[in-house]
Amino acid sequence: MISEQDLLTQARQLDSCALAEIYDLYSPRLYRYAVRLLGDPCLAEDCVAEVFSRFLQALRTGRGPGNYLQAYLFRATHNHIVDHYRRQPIMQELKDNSPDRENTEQSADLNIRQHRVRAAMLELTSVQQQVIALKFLEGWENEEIARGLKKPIGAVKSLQHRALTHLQKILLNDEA
Amino acid sequence: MLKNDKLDPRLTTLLDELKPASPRDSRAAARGRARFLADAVSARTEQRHSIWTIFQQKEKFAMNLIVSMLVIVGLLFGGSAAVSAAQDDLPNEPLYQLKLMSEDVKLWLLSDRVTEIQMLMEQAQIRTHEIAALTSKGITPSGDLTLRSQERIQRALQLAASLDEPAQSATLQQIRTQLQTQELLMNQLQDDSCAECEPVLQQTREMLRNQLNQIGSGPSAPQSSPNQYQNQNQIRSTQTPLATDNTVAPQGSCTPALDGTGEQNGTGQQSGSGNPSVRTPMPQNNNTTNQNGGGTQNDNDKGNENGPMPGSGNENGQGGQGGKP
Repeated sequence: MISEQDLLTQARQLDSCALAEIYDLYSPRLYRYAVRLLGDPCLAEDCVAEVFSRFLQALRTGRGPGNYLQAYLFRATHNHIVDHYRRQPIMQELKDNSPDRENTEQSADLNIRQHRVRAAMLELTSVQQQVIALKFLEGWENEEIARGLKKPIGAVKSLQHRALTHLQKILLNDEA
Repeated sequence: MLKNDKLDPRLTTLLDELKPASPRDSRAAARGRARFLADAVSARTEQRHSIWTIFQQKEKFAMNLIVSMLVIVGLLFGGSAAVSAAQDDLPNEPLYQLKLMSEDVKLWLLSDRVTEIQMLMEQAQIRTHEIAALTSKGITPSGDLTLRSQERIQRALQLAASLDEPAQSATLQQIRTQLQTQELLMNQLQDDSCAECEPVLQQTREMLRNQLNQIGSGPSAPQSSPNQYQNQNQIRSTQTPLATDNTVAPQGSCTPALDGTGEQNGTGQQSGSGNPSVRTPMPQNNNTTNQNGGGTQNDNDKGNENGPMPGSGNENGQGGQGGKP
């Protein structure tokens, strides 16, 4: 299997095969990441399309990722999600979408809980959100996160600690 | 709360509830993939097309610089085939402008005044030969050729005026010889040339004659003093002689009127209304007859309206001493 670095090198030359392979490799992961944080498959699909479009544009203009393609794509996805929530607050979405999405009571409860977690995460800083999402939703190791965020591991751990403390404060105090 | 880096299980449960993601719609995924790949293909095509555009636009300045350098190098060393080929071109041929440019560059590169004078006279001679070549082909030469030749000669005279005495005399002698050669060439064309060419030829003859008059008969002639050339140059650029003033007494630097009557404009540096570049030189002695033969003076004068010859007489006979102040 071709390495990420080789893929990136070929992608910079706008090689169609390399770009197709990158899409096939990363778009499912990005979709999953987006749908977890956005809670809407259509929005997640749009997010993935937008991320890959920006990626292509970056390649055309000679910018794009330096070394870590995966980290670059996740960062772009996260930025798009943050932008989305800036434009459309999550509570509005909860009110509009939840009753129509799931008919069963159980699914509705799950949906509401998911929205609560998302809303809580949105109170974190963008970097803290990324650390929590990558660590607890995507299962990345701290080293990977540190490389992706271009931060030392110690800083990642510190971000993670503060983010979890904040989340516990929001979510568990609400429950209490 | 977080205690000893242990995550509260309730928080873990809450975070885990975000993990289940609804399966991706395969058709939406396929559409997204197809759109991305289509964009990729068009981007690649655009990139191919834009390579030359980038070369043209982003590197335009650099390209201009390179082209300019190449042209300059070509002009400098004469290595360029185009520049070499242009040297034989006549004014009606495509590379003639290149020839003129190369001449300018050659002059610009010279620092030695004597060499520059030689080059200027050589270029003046080239103009005269071009006039002759065009005439022999039955093509009417442009008056610009005469003007260019005159400009070169004037510059040569000005430079000569700034030389020290021994060098000045020798240089003036060389200039005189070259002017006489050119004049001889022009006179040889007198019989063979076409009727349409005659005005320009006559104008050139007059110009050469007057330049010879400026130099005088010998290196030590008073006309060859540096101030004279400088003053004459100033007069040419500033004077506007009155063409209607018949009462002005003849002076050393007077210029005849345009109408070929021999009336003097009272030029000097005092007055005048009219572009000196369109005045026709006439004999200083107010003689209305042509010394080369009666009846042709006025015609010749009309054909020579581009000849600025302040302070010079117009004797079509050899020597041209009558017009000297």
